[in-house]
Amino acid sequence: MINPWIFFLLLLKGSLFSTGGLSNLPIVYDDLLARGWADERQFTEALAVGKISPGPTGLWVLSLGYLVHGPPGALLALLALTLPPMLVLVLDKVYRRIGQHPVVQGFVWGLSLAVVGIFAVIAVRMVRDHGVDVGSVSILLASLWIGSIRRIPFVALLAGAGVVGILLYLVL
Amino acid sequence: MLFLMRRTVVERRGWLSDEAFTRAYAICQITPGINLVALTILIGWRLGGPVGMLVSLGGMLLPSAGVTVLLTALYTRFQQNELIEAALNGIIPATIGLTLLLALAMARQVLGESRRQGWGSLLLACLLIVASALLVGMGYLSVIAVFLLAGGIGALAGWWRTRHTDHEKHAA
Repeated sequence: MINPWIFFLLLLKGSLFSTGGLSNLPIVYDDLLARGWADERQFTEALAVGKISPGPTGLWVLSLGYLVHGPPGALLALLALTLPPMLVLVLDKVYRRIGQHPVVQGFVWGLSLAVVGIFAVIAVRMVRDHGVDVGSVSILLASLWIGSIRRIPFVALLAGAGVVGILLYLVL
Repeated sequence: MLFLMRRTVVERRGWLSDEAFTRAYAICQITPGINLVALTILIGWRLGGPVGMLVSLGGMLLPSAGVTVLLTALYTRFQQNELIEAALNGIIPATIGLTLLLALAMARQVLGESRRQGWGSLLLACLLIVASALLVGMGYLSVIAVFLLAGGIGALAGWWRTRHTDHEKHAA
């Protein structure tokens, strides 16, 4: 069974070691999958909802919280998202001294490189979990290509992908 | 969204100067968690103390969090529907594609920064990406261990670079 307290701490840990967007994905993914509290499918679903809904992409965790543990899960996720950014008030006081320091900048630099590397691993696992077939792979490649065109909003792209999915289902 | 916040806070209302807004955002980028949440907290606090912070946080998070949770709830309700299922078979690969795209954008940014620091830095960056992917992909280390390791190496590189430039200054 899911222990809400531990669940909250795991989400908090992800939030503490991230710099926004989806950068908390690697840690949360690792922790929840290891405990068997979530599966790959729930992660992709939560990411899709996060991309479709308004507001920062980082809110995808709310959707994950809901999928894993219902409304209380979403509430815990909201708390875990709001607490770490409060540190901004402390950082605001010390920024002049440490923000420009090469060691701090080096740490952030190393962290973002690790995030990039781990994202590749997660993408491969998600593809493997979804199943590799011609349709999925072409949709993935097409979304990579269309998504890199700035004028097209992600919501429109995902809606289009949904329509393609329905068409494939009706035709095949 | 950042663009909208800037227009309201700086241009329409004149609550913060352009410079103060940029500096606030820089601080938020090194703050753990979602940058926009941190920015909302910081601006709210500066304008109205603890109450201002809570008001601005509520105003920013509640609508988007509400929609996110609502969409997730709707989704779990209609999950069994065949057409929804078919649409998801299109949406999921597209979500993975968009996630990869985000990783590519992050990679381009951090690699560009490394390139400006020199070829040694670029080489180290590539090594860190590949090593993080392998260590996590093969299951040798947990994500958090890889984060701390990569951040530590980055901090060391930053420290080494200051010493190096200090020597050059002394020599000159």
